[in-house]
Amino acid sequence: VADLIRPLRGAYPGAAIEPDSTIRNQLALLGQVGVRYGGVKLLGGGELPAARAARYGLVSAWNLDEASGARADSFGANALTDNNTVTSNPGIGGVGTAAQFTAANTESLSIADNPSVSSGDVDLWLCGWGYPDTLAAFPAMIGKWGTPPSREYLLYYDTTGGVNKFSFAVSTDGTNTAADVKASTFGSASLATWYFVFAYHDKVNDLIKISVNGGAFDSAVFSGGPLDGASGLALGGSSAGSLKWDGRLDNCAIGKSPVGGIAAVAPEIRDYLYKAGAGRDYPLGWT
Amino acid sequence: MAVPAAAMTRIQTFLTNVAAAVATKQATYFAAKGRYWQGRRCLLATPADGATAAPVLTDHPTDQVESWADLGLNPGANLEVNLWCDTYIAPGGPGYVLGVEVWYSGQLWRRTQNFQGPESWRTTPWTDVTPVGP
Repeated sequence: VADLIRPLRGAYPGAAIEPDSTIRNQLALLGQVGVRYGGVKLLGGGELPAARAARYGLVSAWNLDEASGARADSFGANALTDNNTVTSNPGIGGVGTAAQFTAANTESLSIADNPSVSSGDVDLWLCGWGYPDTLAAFPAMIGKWGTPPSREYLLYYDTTGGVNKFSFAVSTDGTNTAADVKASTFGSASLATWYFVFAYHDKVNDLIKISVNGGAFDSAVFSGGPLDGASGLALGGSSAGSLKWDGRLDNCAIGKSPVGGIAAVAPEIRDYLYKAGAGRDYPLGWT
Repeated sequence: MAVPAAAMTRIQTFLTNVAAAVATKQATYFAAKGRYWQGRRCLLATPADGATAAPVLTDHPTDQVESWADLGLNPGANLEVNLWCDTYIAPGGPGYVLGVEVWYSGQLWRRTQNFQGPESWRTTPWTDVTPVGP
Protein backbone atom coordinates (compact mmCIF):
# COMPACT_ATOMS: atom_id res chain seq x y z
CA VAL A 1 0.00 0.00 0.00
CA ALA A 2 2.74 2.40 0.94
CA ASP A 3 4.47 1.82 -2.35
CA LEU A 4 1.31 2.69 -4.20
CA ILE A 5 0.47 5.78 -2.19
CA ARG A 6 3.95 7.27 -2.14
CA PRO A 7 4.02 8.35 -5.79
CA LEU A 8 0.47 9.67 -5.55
CA ARG A 9 1.39 11.81 -2.58
CA GLY A 10 4.38 13.04 -4.51
CA ALA A 11 2.23 13.92 -7.48
CA TYR A 12 -0.43 15.64 -5.38
CA PRO A 13 1.35 17.28 -2.45
CA GLY A 14 -0.96 18.25 0.34
CA ALA A 15 -3.85 16.10 -0.86
CA ALA A 16 -5.48 13.67 1.54
CA ILE A 17 -4.57 10.36 0.00
CA GLU A 18 -5.33 7.40 2.24
CA PRO A 19 -5.78 3.69 1.70
CA ASP A 20 -9.37 2.66 1.30
CA SER A 21 -9.63 -0.08 3.89
CA THR A 22 -12.83 -1.49 2.51
CA ILE A 23 -11.39 -2.00 -0.92
CA ARG A 24 -8.10 -3.13 0.51
CA ASN A 25 -9.75 -5.78 2.62
CA GLN A 26 -11.92 -7.00 -0.22
CA LEU A 27 -9.09 -7.25 -2.67
CA ALA A 28 -6.31 -8.36 -0.43
CA LEU A 29 -6.72 -11.98 -1.44
CA LEU A 30 -6.64 -11.02 -5.07
CA GLY A 31 -3.37 -9.18 -4.75
CA GLN A 32 -4.98 -5.85 -5.52
CA VAL A 33 -5.01 -2.69 -3.43
CA GLY A 34 -7.36 0.25 -3.50
CA VAL A 35 -6.58 3.82 -2.53
CA ARG A 36 -8.78 6.89 -2.29
CA TYR A 37 -7.85 10.25 -3.76
CA GLY A 38 -10.34 12.86 -2.66
CA GLY A 39 -13.75 11.27 -3.23
CA VAL A 40 -12.55 8.97 -5.99
CA LYS A 41 -11.52 5.39 -5.42
CA LEU A 42 -8.49 4.39 -7.39
CA LEU A 43 -7.37 0.85 -7.94
CA GLY A 44 -3.73 0.26 -7.45
CA GLY A 45 -3.38 -3.34 -8.53
CA GLY A 46 -5.50 -3.76 -11.62
CA GLU A 47 -9.00 -3.77 -13.01
CA LEU A 48 -11.77 -5.36 -10.98
CA PRO A 49 -13.32 -8.44 -12.61
CA ALA A 50 -16.76 -6.83 -12.79
CA ALA A 51 -15.35 -3.68 -14.39
CA ARG A 52 -13.41 -5.68 -16.95
CA ALA A 53 -16.43 -7.85 -17.63
CA ALA A 54 -18.54 -4.75 -18.25
CA ARG A 55 -15.91 -3.30 -20.57
CA TYR A 56 -15.73 -6.57 -22.49
CA GLY A 57 -19.52 -6.83 -22.70
CA LEU A 58 -19.44 -10.20 -21.00
CA VAL A 59 -22.84 -11.90 -21.04
CA SER A 60 -22.09 -15.33 -19.62
CA ALA A 61 -19.07 -17.20 -18.30
CA TRP A 62 -19.34 -20.93 -17.75
CA ASN A 63 -16.43 -22.24 -15.70
CA LEU A 64 -17.82 -25.79 -16.03
CA ASP A 65 -16.42 -26.84 -12.68
CA GLU A 66 -19.42 -28.97 -11.70
CA ALA A 67 -19.14 -32.76 -11.69
CA SER A 68 -22.50 -33.22 -13.41
CA GLY A 69 -25.97 -31.73 -13.61
CA ALA A 70 -26.83 -28.14 -14.45
CA ARG A 71 -23.85 -25.83 -14.97
CA ALA A 72 -23.77 -22.41 -13.37
CA ASP A 73 -23.26 -19.15 -15.20
CA SER A 74 -20.63 -17.43 -13.06
CA PHE A 75 -21.44 -14.00 -14.46
CA GLY A 76 -24.89 -13.85 -16.05
CA ALA A 77 -28.18 -15.65 -15.72
CA ASN A 78 -27.72 -18.40 -18.28
CA ALA A 79 -27.31 -21.53 -16.19
CA LEU A 80 -27.13 -24.52 -18.50
CA THR A 81 -29.27 -27.63 -18.49
CA ASP A 82 -27.40 -30.95 -18.56
CA ASN A 83 -28.69 -33.13 -21.39
CA ASN A 84 -28.09 -36.87 -21.06
CA THR A 85 -25.60 -36.56 -18.20
CA VAL A 86 -22.57 -34.53 -19.14
CA THR A 87 -19.84 -35.71 -16.79
CA SER A 88 -16.50 -34.10 -15.92
CA ASN A 89 -12.79 -34.56 -16.31
CA PRO A 90 -9.72 -32.51 -15.38
CA GLY A 91 -9.75 -29.01 -16.82
CA ILE A 92 -7.13 -26.93 -18.58
CA GLY A 93 -3.70 -27.86 -17.34
CA GLY A 94 -5.23 -30.40 -15.00
CA VAL A 95 -6.62 -27.63 -12.82
CA GLY A 96 -10.26 -27.77 -11.78
CA THR A 97 -12.74 -29.64 -13.93
CA ALA A 98 -14.06 -29.45 -17.45
CA ALA A 99 -17.33 -30.74 -18.87
CA GLN A 100 -16.86 -34.14 -20.51
CA PHE A 101 -19.15 -34.78 -23.49
CA THR A 102 -19.66 -38.27 -24.89
CA ALA A 103 -20.96 -37.98 -28.42
CA ALA A 104 -22.35 -41.51 -28.46
CA ASN A 105 -24.70 -40.51 -25.65
CA THR A 106 -25.85 -37.27 -27.34
CA GLU A 107 -24.69 -35.18 -24.40
CA SER A 108 -24.85 -31.40 -24.39
CA LEU A 109 -25.46 -28.37 -22.18
CA SER A 110 -28.15 -25.92 -23.23
CA ILE A 111 -30.43 -23.04 -22.43
CA ALA A 112 -33.53 -21.86 -24.23
CA ASP A 113 -33.37 -18.77 -26.40
CA ASN A 114 -33.39 -15.45 -24.57
CA PRO A 115 -32.34 -11.90 -25.46
CA SER A 116 -29.01 -12.08 -23.63
CA VAL A 117 -27.62 -14.82 -25.89
CA SER A 118 -29.30 -13.61 -29.05
CA SER A 119 -27.27 -11.85 -31.68
CA GLY A 120 -28.59 -9.93 -34.66
CA ASP A 121 -26.37 -7.25 -36.17
CA VAL A 122 -24.35 -6.54 -33.03
CA ASP A 123 -20.76 -7.00 -31.98
CA LEU A 124 -20.67 -10.56 -30.65
CA TRP A 125 -17.82 -12.67 -29.32
CA LEU A 126 -17.69 -16.21 -28.02
CA CYS A 127 -14.92 -18.51 -26.92
CA GLY A 128 -14.11 -21.74 -25.17
CA TRP A 129 -11.43 -24.31 -24.47
CA GLY A 130 -11.85 -27.60 -26.28
CA TYR A 131 -10.09 -30.93 -25.78
CA PRO A 132 -11.30 -33.34 -28.47
CA ASP A 133 -11.30 -37.07 -27.80
CA THR A 134 -12.40 -37.60 -31.38
CA LEU A 135 -13.13 -35.24 -34.26
CA ALA A 136 -15.94 -36.37 -36.54
CA ALA A 137 -19.09 -35.02 -38.17
CA PHE A 138 -18.60 -31.30 -37.52
CA PRO A 139 -18.46 -31.29 -33.70
CA ALA A 140 -19.81 -28.07 -32.19
CA MET A 141 -18.31 -26.28 -29.21
CA ILE A 142 -20.81 -23.47 -28.61
CA GLY A 143 -23.52 -21.72 -30.54
CA LYS A 144 -27.13 -21.16 -31.43
CA TRP A 145 -27.53 -23.52 -34.34
CA GLY A 146 -30.99 -25.02 -34.20
CA THR A 147 -33.08 -26.83 -36.73
CA PRO A 148 -33.40 -24.76 -39.91
CA PRO A 149 -34.65 -22.04 -40.13
CA SER A 150 -33.31 -21.19 -36.68
CA ARG A 151 -29.58 -21.24 -37.22
CA GLU A 152 -27.67 -18.20 -35.95
CA TYR A 153 -24.00 -18.66 -35.04
CA LEU A 154 -21.78 -21.66 -34.36
CA LEU A 155 -18.22 -22.30 -33.20
CA TYR A 156 -17.32 -25.77 -34.44
CA TYR A 157 -14.64 -27.96 -36.00
CA ASP A 158 -14.96 -28.50 -39.73
CA THR A 159 -14.10 -32.15 -40.34
CA THR A 160 -14.47 -31.92 -44.09
CA GLY A 161 -11.60 -33.75 -45.74
CA GLY A 162 -8.90 -31.30 -46.66
CA VAL A 163 -10.23 -28.64 -44.28
CA ASN A 164 -9.96 -29.87 -40.68
CA LYS A 165 -10.03 -26.50 -38.97
CA PHE A 166 -11.83 -24.78 -36.13
CA SER A 167 -14.53 -22.68 -37.76
CA PHE A 168 -17.06 -19.97 -37.02
CA ALA A 169 -20.26 -20.06 -39.06
CA VAL A 170 -23.13 -17.58 -39.18
CA SER A 171 -26.51 -17.57 -40.86
CA THR A 172 -28.75 -14.65 -41.74
CA ASP A 173 -31.78 -16.62 -42.91
CA GLY A 174 -31.59 -19.39 -40.33
CA THR A 175 -31.10 -22.10 -42.92
CA ASN A 176 -28.09 -21.36 -45.08
CA THR A 177 -24.58 -20.58 -43.90
CA ALA A 178 -23.91 -16.98 -44.92
CA ALA A 179 -20.24 -16.98 -43.93
CA ASP A 180 -17.89 -19.52 -42.42
CA VAL A 181 -14.38 -18.51 -41.42
CA LYS A 182 -11.73 -21.20 -40.91
CA ALA A 183 -8.81 -20.96 -38.51
CA SER A 184 -6.40 -21.51 -41.38
CA THR A 185 -3.55 -19.64 -39.77
CA PHE A 186 -3.52 -22.08 -36.87
CA GLY A 187 -4.13 -25.20 -38.91
CA SER A 188 -5.53 -28.56 -37.95
CA ALA A 189 -6.12 -29.78 -34.42
CA SER A 190 -4.85 -32.92 -32.74
CA LEU A 191 -6.73 -35.18 -30.39
CA ALA A 192 -6.32 -35.06 -26.60
CA THR A 193 -4.96 -31.52 -26.67
CA TRP A 194 -6.39 -28.30 -25.25
CA TYR A 195 -7.26 -25.48 -27.66
CA PHE A 196 -8.57 -22.02 -26.92
CA VAL A 197 -10.86 -20.86 -29.70
CA PHE A 198 -12.05 -17.25 -29.88
CA ALA A 199 -14.40 -15.91 -32.56
CA TYR A 200 -16.36 -12.74 -33.12
CA HIS A 201 -18.67 -10.78 -35.38
CA ASP A 202 -17.71 -7.20 -36.13
CA LYS A 203 -20.86 -5.29 -37.10
CA VAL A 204 -19.03 -2.11 -38.12
CA ASN A 205 -16.56 -3.70 -40.49
CA ASP A 206 -18.87 -6.54 -41.56
CA LEU A 207 -16.43 -9.28 -40.69
CA ILE A 208 -16.31 -12.52 -38.75
CA LYS A 209 -13.00 -13.65 -37.32
CA ILE A 210 -11.52 -16.62 -35.52
CA SER A 211 -8.31 -17.26 -33.61
CA VAL A 212 -6.87 -20.36 -31.94
CA ASN A 213 -4.55 -20.32 -28.94
CA GLY A 214 -4.12 -16.56 -29.02
CA GLY A 215 -2.81 -16.58 -32.58
CA ALA A 216 -3.57 -14.27 -35.45
CA PHE A 217 -7.16 -13.90 -36.60
CA ASP A 218 -8.48 -15.28 -39.84
CA SER A 219 -11.40 -13.33 -41.23
CA ALA A 220 -14.28 -13.52 -43.69
CA VAL A 221 -16.64 -10.87 -45.00
CA PHE A 222 -20.13 -11.03 -43.56
CA SER A 223 -22.77 -8.30 -43.56
CA GLY A 224 -26.16 -8.03 -41.96
CA GLY A 225 -25.41 -9.88 -38.75
CA PRO A 226 -26.51 -13.34 -37.64
CA LEU A 227 -30.19 -14.12 -37.41
CA ASP A 228 -31.83 -13.22 -34.11
CA GLY A 229 -33.95 -16.34 -33.99
CA ALA A 230 -35.53 -18.75 -31.55
CA SER A 231 -32.78 -21.33 -31.30
CA GLY A 232 -31.49 -22.19 -27.87
CA LEU A 233 -27.81 -21.89 -27.04
CA ALA A 234 -25.88 -25.11 -26.64
CA LEU A 235 -22.42 -26.26 -25.64
CA GLY A 236 -21.13 -29.59 -26.90
CA GLY A 237 -23.50 -29.95 -29.82
CA SER A 238 -25.85 -28.04 -32.03
CA SER A 239 -29.14 -26.84 -30.61
CA ALA A 240 -30.80 -29.38 -32.88
CA GLY A 241 -29.18 -32.30 -31.06
CA SER A 242 -26.58 -33.03 -33.71
CA LEU A 243 -22.95 -31.99 -34.38
CA LYS A 244 -21.90 -33.68 -31.16
CA TRP A 245 -18.68 -32.68 -29.44
CA ASP A 246 -16.75 -35.69 -28.16
CA GLY A 247 -14.33 -34.58 -25.46
CA ARG A 248 -13.99 -31.79 -22.95
CA LEU A 249 -15.00 -28.14 -22.88
CA ASP A 250 -13.82 -25.67 -20.28
CA ASN A 251 -14.16 -21.95 -19.53
CA CYS A 252 -16.62 -21.02 -22.24
CA ALA A 253 -17.93 -17.47 -22.48
CA ILE A 254 -19.97 -15.16 -24.65
CA GLY A 255 -20.13 -11.38 -24.83
CA LYS A 256 -21.73 -8.59 -26.81
CA SER A 257 -21.06 -4.97 -27.61
CA PRO A 258 -17.77 -4.40 -25.75
CA VAL A 259 -16.83 -0.82 -24.95
CA GLY A 260 -14.86 0.68 -27.81
CA GLY A 261 -16.15 -1.77 -30.40
CA ILE A 262 -15.17 -5.37 -30.95
CA ALA A 263 -12.56 -4.57 -33.60
CA ALA A 264 -10.49 -2.62 -31.09
CA VAL A 265 -10.99 -4.86 -28.08
CA ALA A 266 -11.08 -8.40 -29.51
CA PRO A 267 -7.31 -8.98 -29.39
CA GLU A 268 -7.26 -7.85 -25.77
CA ILE A 269 -10.18 -10.11 -24.80
CA ARG A 270 -8.63 -13.04 -26.63
CA ASP A 271 -5.25 -12.63 -25.01
CA TYR A 272 -6.70 -11.97 -21.58
CA LEU A 273 -8.89 -15.08 -21.60
CA TYR A 274 -6.20 -17.23 -23.19
CA LYS A 275 -3.71 -16.14 -20.52
CA ALA A 276 -0.81 -17.71 -22.36
CA GLY A 277 -2.47 -21.10 -22.19
CA ALA A 278 -3.67 -21.07 -18.60
CA GLY A 279 -7.28 -19.91 -19.08
CA ARG A 280 -9.38 -17.98 -16.61
CA ASP A 281 -12.32 -18.83 -14.36
CA TYR A 282 -14.70 -15.97 -13.62
CA PRO A 283 -14.38 -14.05 -11.31
CA LEU A 284 -11.35 -15.19 -9.34
CA GLY A 285 -9.29 -15.81 -12.45
CA TRP A 286 -10.12 -12.37 -13.83
CA THR A 287 -7.57 -10.51 -11.76
CA MET B 1 -43.79 -34.24 -48.11
CA ALA B 2 -44.95 -34.08 -44.52
CA VAL B 3 -45.77 -37.12 -42.47
CA PRO B 4 -49.10 -38.44 -43.81
CA ALA B 5 -52.06 -37.80 -41.55
CA ALA B 6 -52.78 -41.48 -41.07
CA ALA B 7 -49.18 -42.11 -40.05
CA MET B 8 -49.26 -39.16 -37.67
CA THR B 9 -52.29 -40.57 -35.91
CA ARG B 10 -50.76 -44.03 -35.76
CA ILE B 11 -47.43 -42.73 -34.45
CA GLN B 12 -49.13 -40.52 -31.87
CA THR B 13 -50.99 -43.54 -30.52
CA PHE B 14 -47.72 -45.45 -30.45
CA LEU B 15 -46.00 -42.59 -28.62
CA THR B 16 -48.81 -42.33 -26.08
CA ASN B 17 -48.60 -46.02 -25.32
CA VAL B 18 -44.81 -45.98 -25.05
CA ALA B 19 -44.98 -42.90 -22.82
CA ALA B 20 -47.29 -44.67 -20.39
CA ALA B 21 -44.97 -47.65 -20.14
CA VAL B 22 -41.87 -45.49 -19.84
CA ALA B 23 -43.47 -43.29 -17.15
CA THR B 24 -43.97 -46.27 -14.87
CA LYS B 25 -40.38 -47.41 -15.30
CA GLN B 26 -39.02 -43.88 -14.95
CA ALA B 27 -40.77 -43.41 -11.63
CA THR B 28 -39.15 -46.54 -10.24
CA TYR B 29 -35.78 -45.71 -11.77
CA PHE B 30 -35.80 -42.16 -10.44
CA ALA B 31 -36.70 -43.37 -6.95
CA ALA B 32 -33.75 -45.75 -7.00
CA LYS B 33 -31.12 -43.68 -8.82
CA GLY B 34 -32.12 -40.06 -8.29
CA ARG B 35 -32.09 -39.40 -12.02
CA TYR B 36 -34.08 -40.42 -15.05
CA TRP B 37 -33.16 -43.23 -17.39
CA GLN B 38 -31.80 -42.50 -20.87
CA GLY B 39 -32.91 -44.73 -23.73
CA ARG B 40 -30.69 -44.88 -26.81
CA ARG B 41 -32.22 -44.83 -30.27
CA CYS B 42 -34.00 -48.13 -30.88
CA LEU B 43 -33.14 -48.39 -34.57
CA LEU B 44 -29.75 -48.29 -36.22
CA ALA B 45 -31.28 -46.52 -39.23
CA THR B 46 -34.37 -44.34 -39.17
CA PRO B 47 -37.16 -45.89 -41.29
CA ALA B 48 -38.45 -44.21 -44.44
CA ASP B 49 -41.86 -43.92 -46.06
CA GLY B 50 -43.73 -46.27 -43.77
CA ALA B 51 -41.20 -49.09 -43.72
CA THR B 52 -40.57 -50.83 -40.42
CA ALA B 53 -37.57 -52.39 -38.70
CA ALA B 54 -36.92 -54.51 -35.64
CA PRO B 55 -35.60 -52.48 -32.69
CA VAL B 56 -32.30 -53.05 -30.91
CA LEU B 57 -33.24 -52.94 -27.25
CA THR B 58 -29.97 -53.95 -25.62
CA ASP B 59 -27.97 -50.80 -26.39
CA HIS B 60 -27.29 -48.35 -23.58
CA PRO B 61 -25.30 -45.14 -22.98
CA THR B 62 -21.68 -45.52 -21.93
CA ASP B 63 -22.41 -43.99 -18.53
CA GLN B 64 -25.55 -46.01 -17.78
CA VAL B 65 -25.84 -49.79 -17.68
CA GLU B 66 -29.57 -50.16 -18.23
CA SER B 67 -30.95 -50.64 -21.74
CA TRP B 68 -34.57 -50.70 -22.91
CA ALA B 69 -34.57 -54.44 -22.34
CA ASP B 70 -33.09 -54.12 -18.87
CA LEU B 71 -35.98 -51.91 -17.88
CA GLY B 72 -38.47 -54.36 -19.34
CA LEU B 73 -39.48 -51.93 -22.08
CA ASN B 74 -40.43 -53.30 -25.47
CA PRO B 75 -42.00 -50.75 -27.80
CA GLY B 76 -42.87 -53.40 -30.39
CA ALA B 77 -41.50 -56.08 -32.68
CA ASN B 78 -41.21 -53.69 -35.61
CA LEU B 79 -41.14 -49.89 -35.53
CA GLU B 80 -42.00 -47.39 -38.24
CA VAL B 81 -40.18 -44.61 -36.35
CA ASN B 82 -36.88 -44.33 -34.55
CA LEU B 83 -37.56 -43.92 -30.84
CA TRP B 84 -35.40 -42.60 -28.02
CA CYS B 85 -35.59 -41.14 -24.53
CA ASP B 86 -33.35 -38.19 -23.59
CA THR B 87 -32.87 -37.02 -20.02
CA TYR B 88 -31.98 -33.61 -18.65
CA ILE B 89 -31.16 -31.85 -15.42
CA ALA B 90 -32.22 -28.22 -15.68
CA PRO B 91 -31.59 -25.58 -13.03
CA GLY B 92 -35.29 -26.03 -12.23
CA GLY B 93 -35.19 -29.79 -11.92
CA PRO B 94 -34.84 -33.03 -13.89
CA GLY B 95 -37.00 -34.37 -16.67
CA TYR B 96 -37.01 -36.56 -19.72
CA VAL B 97 -38.10 -36.33 -23.33
CA LEU B 98 -39.41 -38.99 -25.68
CA GLY B 99 -38.62 -38.44 -29.33
CA VAL B 100 -39.45 -40.09 -32.63
CA GLU B 101 -38.06 -39.55 -36.12
CA VAL B 102 -39.08 -40.81 -39.53
CA TRP B 103 -38.19 -40.10 -43.16
CA TYR B 104 -40.86 -39.29 -45.70
CA SER B 105 -40.01 -38.44 -49.30
CA GLY B 106 -36.45 -37.50 -48.45
CA GLN B 107 -37.34 -35.31 -45.49
CA LEU B 108 -36.54 -36.21 -41.89
CA TRP B 109 -39.36 -35.42 -39.45
CA ARG B 110 -39.13 -35.31 -35.67
CA ARG B 111 -41.66 -35.02 -32.86
CA THR B 112 -40.71 -34.75 -29.17
CA GLN B 113 -42.67 -34.79 -25.93
CA ASN B 114 -41.42 -33.46 -22.59
CA PHE B 115 -42.28 -35.33 -19.40
CA GLN B 116 -41.87 -34.45 -15.73
CA GLY B 117 -39.30 -31.72 -16.08
CA PRO B 118 -39.78 -27.95 -16.18
CA GLU B 119 -38.67 -27.39 -19.78
CA SER B 120 -42.01 -27.62 -21.52
CA TRP B 121 -40.54 -26.01 -24.64
CA ARG B 122 -38.99 -29.41 -25.35
CA THR B 123 -42.38 -30.61 -26.54
CA THR B 124 -42.37 -29.94 -30.26
CA PRO B 125 -44.81 -30.73 -33.07
CA TRP B 126 -43.71 -32.58 -36.17
CA THR B 127 -40.73 -30.61 -37.44
CA ASP B 128 -38.62 -31.01 -40.56
CA VAL B 129 -35.10 -31.68 -39.29
CA THR B 130 -33.56 -32.79 -42.56
CA PRO B 131 -29.79 -32.32 -42.24
CA VAL B 132 -28.47 -29.26 -44.07
CA GLY B 133 -24.71 -28.69 -44.15
CA PRO B 134 -22.71 -28.54 -40.94
